[in-house]
Amino acid sequence: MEKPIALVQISNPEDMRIAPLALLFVGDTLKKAGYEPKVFHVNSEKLQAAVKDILSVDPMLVGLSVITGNQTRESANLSKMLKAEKPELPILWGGVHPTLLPRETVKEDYIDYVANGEGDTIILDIVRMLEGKVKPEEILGLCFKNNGVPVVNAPRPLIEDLDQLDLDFDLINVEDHLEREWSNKRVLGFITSRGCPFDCKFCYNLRFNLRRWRAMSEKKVVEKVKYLKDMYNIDGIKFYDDLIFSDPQRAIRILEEVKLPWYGEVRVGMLDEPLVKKLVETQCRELLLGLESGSNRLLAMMKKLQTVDHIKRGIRNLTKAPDVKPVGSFIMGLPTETKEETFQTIDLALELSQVNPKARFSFGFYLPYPGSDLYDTALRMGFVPPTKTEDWDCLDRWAGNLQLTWLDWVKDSAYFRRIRDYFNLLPLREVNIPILSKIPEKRLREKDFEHPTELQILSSLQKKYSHKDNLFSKVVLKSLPYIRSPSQPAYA
Amino acid sequence: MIKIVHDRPGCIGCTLCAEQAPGQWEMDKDDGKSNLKCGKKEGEIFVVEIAESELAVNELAARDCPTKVIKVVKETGSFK
Repeated sequence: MEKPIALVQISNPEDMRIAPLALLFVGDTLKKAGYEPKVFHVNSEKLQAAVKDILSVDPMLVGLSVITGNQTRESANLSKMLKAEKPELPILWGGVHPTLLPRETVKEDYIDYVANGEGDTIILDIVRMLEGKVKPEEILGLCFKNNGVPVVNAPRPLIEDLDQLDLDFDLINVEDHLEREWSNKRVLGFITSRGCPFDCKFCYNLRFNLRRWRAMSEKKVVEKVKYLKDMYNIDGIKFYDDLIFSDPQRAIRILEEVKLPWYGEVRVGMLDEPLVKKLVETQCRELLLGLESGSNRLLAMMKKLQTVDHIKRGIRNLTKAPDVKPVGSFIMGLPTETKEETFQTIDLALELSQVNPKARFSFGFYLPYPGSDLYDTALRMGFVPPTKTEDWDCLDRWAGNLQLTWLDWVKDSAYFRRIRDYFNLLPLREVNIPILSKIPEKRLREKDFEHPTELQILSSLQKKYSHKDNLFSKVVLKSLPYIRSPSQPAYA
Repeated sequence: MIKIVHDRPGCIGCTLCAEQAPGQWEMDKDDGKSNLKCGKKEGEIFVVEIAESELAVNELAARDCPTKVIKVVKETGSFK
């Protein structure tokens, strides 16, 4: 019996409930070929324990799935720790980050191989290479070192028939990956398609999936979800496809068949009344919408193929779906973006939140992903890409600290983070506490974000307050009206 | 004879066809969907004949169309 193959994904503690779906595809291929994959979903705060766990199975190969951002640094740290313990253990990186930067990634001394592109089929070739059955130069999509010099083989064609792949949930403890969402307790993640046909100029998918949307057959998806319902008693489903509504009719037919409350992504311009009606009928609970900007100039520049009017109409139409929570995603700080355009985005989000009070918004600063058109613009405007793989953690929507060299009116991402934080506090409007309820909206309307202490206090209080039934929260609630920012005498 | 058949209502306006085969496809400025240039309306669909030299790019457009509303029909009548 050959040694097992360790497949690893590192997640932040708050994301540990989301199943490592990419690894389940790769593991399925290995298992069907007679190998023994072991999936390790690693908590980013427990790397040392993960090293011990991984080495305990004595793997022949460790493959890490890595996306650009925090995961890049954590995966680098884990790889270094594994190499320190067992230098001869082959380390393979796959996923978004190494595909965007294959040569730079394989250069690192703690990485032996890079799978450039989809990992599902190349993994078999790599394992056979380690068994001495295939030469590295014969494997499409493989990057390796030849006497220390990085070699990048010709790319591997995209997988055309996704029905040849499967998500093998038996490789993980499904109970650990069931989320409590909406009014459901056993919600599981799933993927039915890959890629996106659109050409948004900021998106890493342009290089990763080459605008090729490929989908599993409806029959296969429906059968698999039925299996998950029977086997694990799931009562909700989250579709993590890049854009499941790339073919809206297919998506609707699947949703009608699976009959589960669901989450997925749709383009806001598609939200006409018939589609909204279908969302209701199919038990949609949460919709991710790439709204991106409140500026028509920026929407056109990023080739989003939607306007501010489309956004307003879509969000308004969703008010007819009272059980659907729209989550709009905005990007701030795009190359050439002016301060006025950022303010237009803020004003649009405020307007939308009044039109549809259920709507929530996620704000991130622009991340220059290699391979996208806007990356080249960012480079021309002064962006200096990190030279070390781990330093690409600066491209993290939530935690990254980026010098926004392409903008002359703001220095770094902290400014945009404060805007995001005030938006996160906006739901406090719904709480009937005079001062607390008004501060976030006031700041956003006045575009006054220079109160870091206030923000810190409010954010920590909101966290506590979100569990309003406990004793601490009750005390906080009573105290809040008396808490004032050092820089502001009063708000009432 | 090679024909292109376009079931226009299902188009999501991703622009791929207009980029891959600009000789046959353009985007509609009003509704954002693609239009088959010189397409003749036959019921709900649009149809146009193309030359052999235009086949490859249109086969690519048909392959990549996410909603599969583009079909390339060859003389035999088989859909590709």
